Amino acid sequence: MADWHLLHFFDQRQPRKATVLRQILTNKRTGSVLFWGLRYHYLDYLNAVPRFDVKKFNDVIDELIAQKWLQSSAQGLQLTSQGQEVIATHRTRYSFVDHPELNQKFDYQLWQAILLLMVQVASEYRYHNSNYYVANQNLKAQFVIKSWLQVNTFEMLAAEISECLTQFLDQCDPAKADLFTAKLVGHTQNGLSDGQIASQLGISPLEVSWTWRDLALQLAAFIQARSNLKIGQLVQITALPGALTPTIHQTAMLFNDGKTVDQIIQIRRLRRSTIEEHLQVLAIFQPDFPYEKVLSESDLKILSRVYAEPDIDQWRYAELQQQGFEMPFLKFRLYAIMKTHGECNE
Amino acid sequence: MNEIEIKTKLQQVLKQEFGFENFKPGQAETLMSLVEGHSTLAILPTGTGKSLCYQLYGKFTHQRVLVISPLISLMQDQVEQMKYNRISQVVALTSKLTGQERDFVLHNLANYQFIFASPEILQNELIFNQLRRLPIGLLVVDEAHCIAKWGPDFRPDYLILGKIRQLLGQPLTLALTATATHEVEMTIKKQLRFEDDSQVIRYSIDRPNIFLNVEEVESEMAKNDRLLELVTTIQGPGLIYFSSKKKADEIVELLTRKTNLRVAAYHADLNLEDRFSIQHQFIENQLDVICATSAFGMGVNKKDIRYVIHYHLPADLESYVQEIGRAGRDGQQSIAILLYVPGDESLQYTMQIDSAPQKNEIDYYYHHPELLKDLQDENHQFLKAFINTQISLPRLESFFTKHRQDKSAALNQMIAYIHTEQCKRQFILDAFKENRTVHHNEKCCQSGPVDVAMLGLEKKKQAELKSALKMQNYHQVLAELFAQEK
Repeated sequence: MADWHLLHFFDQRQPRKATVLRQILTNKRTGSVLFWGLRYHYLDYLNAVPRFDVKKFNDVIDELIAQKWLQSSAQGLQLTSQGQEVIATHRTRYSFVDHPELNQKFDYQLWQAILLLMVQVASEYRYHNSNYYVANQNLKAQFVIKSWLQVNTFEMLAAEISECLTQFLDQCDPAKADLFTAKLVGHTQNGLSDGQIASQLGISPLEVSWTWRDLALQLAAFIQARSNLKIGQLVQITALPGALTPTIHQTAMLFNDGKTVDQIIQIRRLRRSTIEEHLQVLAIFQPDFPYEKVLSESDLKILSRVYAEPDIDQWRYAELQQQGFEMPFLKFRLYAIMKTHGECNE
Repeated sequence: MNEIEIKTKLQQVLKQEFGFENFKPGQAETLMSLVEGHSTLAILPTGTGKSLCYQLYGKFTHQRVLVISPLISLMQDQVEQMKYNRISQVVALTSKLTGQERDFVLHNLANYQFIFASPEILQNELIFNQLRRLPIGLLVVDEAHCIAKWGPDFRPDYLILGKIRQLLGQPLTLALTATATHEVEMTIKKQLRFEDDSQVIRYSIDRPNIFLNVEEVESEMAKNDRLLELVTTIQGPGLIYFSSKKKADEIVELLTRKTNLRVAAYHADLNLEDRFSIQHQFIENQLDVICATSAFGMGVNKKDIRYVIHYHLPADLESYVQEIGRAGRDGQQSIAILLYVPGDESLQYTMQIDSAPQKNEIDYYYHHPELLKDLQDENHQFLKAFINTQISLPRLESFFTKHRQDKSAALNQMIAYIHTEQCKRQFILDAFKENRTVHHNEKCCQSGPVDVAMLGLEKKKQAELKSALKMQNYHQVLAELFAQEK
């Protein structure tokens, strides 16, 4: 059967471009991608599948269209009623992740390696074993754990990680908790592969890997929220800057200080397009973005007159010029972002 | 130290560091040659512990060892194994390292005694310059047969090894391989710019404890039935080799459904964590059978594999000898079975066509090499590595024409092995130009259905219960992991 999971990202009413989905999943953060990600309610999924191969992605989408689960038009792809039916029929507790947004908060690859190593080192320590095959060859993970152990003790590691895992998993869906621990490696435990778990649960290996990733990231957030834990230092190493990168933060600080776009360009010595893109990203992720600093009363009047159409997806920048108005693209885009946030609030 | 003293000391290090009483054939000679200062080509059969030669040399001399290896999975297996043996100053420099990891390793390079590197990573100027600053006591070229242009495993990146050796100041060098004809031997020595006093240690590729069998069946269905029969009657553990990941998965499904054997697939689609799990389940006898492609780690050190079955024929006799060499590393009677349906070779022919770039493709990419940057498949990477050597277009085209012909000839030799009426062991020895006559007997080889009882390989008891690999309740897993009370 074709992999139907991507159907989850499509809607029966709103046509959506597949390219936007791929770029969101693989963490491409241009102003345009993020705007359409906002329109399609995809933003939580940024960085969710960072290594999604273009060809593989396109093959899956083509297959979903061929199965008539997605319908393709010039506007984009729409979920068909058969597609909706497929989701309803095949959906299990393992099909979709609960906290995709955590992919933006932690470096999953590094955290996964640290977590697996932590568990293995703690487990072997509890059995007084110092000679074993190391389950993960990630050098940075090995280095940070060794460094941590120079300051802290093996007993502390074992006590904190075992306690944390128990508390965390006790609050999870028990079936998912079982899946999660099945992949852990330690004394006399080699862990099960995704395929082995999948065949026992009657789900796909992809669902196993997503569920594990989701729980691993939730565990990172769980540990991070408990400031008394020393292993929190190991989680902190994997923390990502989040949606706003350091360079956007710098622009944001200047903008919030009251500097105009031109002043920011001068101070930061960056191109206008870069600064304008920073402001778009800021508006997308900052709910209290001060639109009035860019959009004047008269701008808003013109924009509301030209873009009376309620479906924001249909707005085109060219319409402004066609109706005889000169306005920078930034204003048009910020207005669309503002209205989209307004829709969400309604 | 005189020769006897060196031998005694080597024996002591073998015992102290590796826990072995005696050397395997070829190891002591190789080490003596190196200690005497001769660059050495060691052609030792699979399973004889080639890697121990350079590990022990490093321990014996306390010098740094740089190992150039063609396969990332092989390097990772070696690193894992060495760390297990408490050799901690070991690292693999590969393209798989993240930027952070690479920075960390380069910053601390002087702290590693054993450095594994792929030939392509050595072409990175920054990395190579860092390496050049370190004294290298021994340069090792693993799987050295990959140097040979006419060999099926030829790697263009290996062509630069002679230059690399020169830039490193012609360090003492050990080239290792299990299979090398005399032609390949000469090429290796020439490419690596070996000195006149270099030595060659050659042992027969023959593994007398592995019975060689080829069985022809009528159809794929008959092949599946025969496979089911074999795996349920021969004592395991066993390895089944496939040329296709999809088929390996299908057969895992079939064997799981129809037998009570614990079976898993192992191929390139598995992530690193799953590869670790499957390998270690197999090593610790939690699995009875692995259905693998050639991705199955060459470094996997499981000594008691009793059978290797080839569901698909490999591309050449060298690969076949390497793969069946995973069996019987404990020296006990084992068996290699090749199941063949007439026409099976078409899969290999197709793979050959797919795996070699065509003339128009060569022309196009030769003039637009920048387009190869994002193409990660082996085929295009191969072409890229070649173009990087600044070869002329006519030479490049003629190389690939020759390469295709060589691959085709190698496959024909494999097919001839299947069909030969003569002793199969003799066929292999002749193919590798070993000047030796096999004393054929009932435990040597055979075409057609094999009597496993005659070999003492009949299954002795029912396999352990499958439940050994069942998922458990998370409380139970945590209790076992952390020695908590349940």
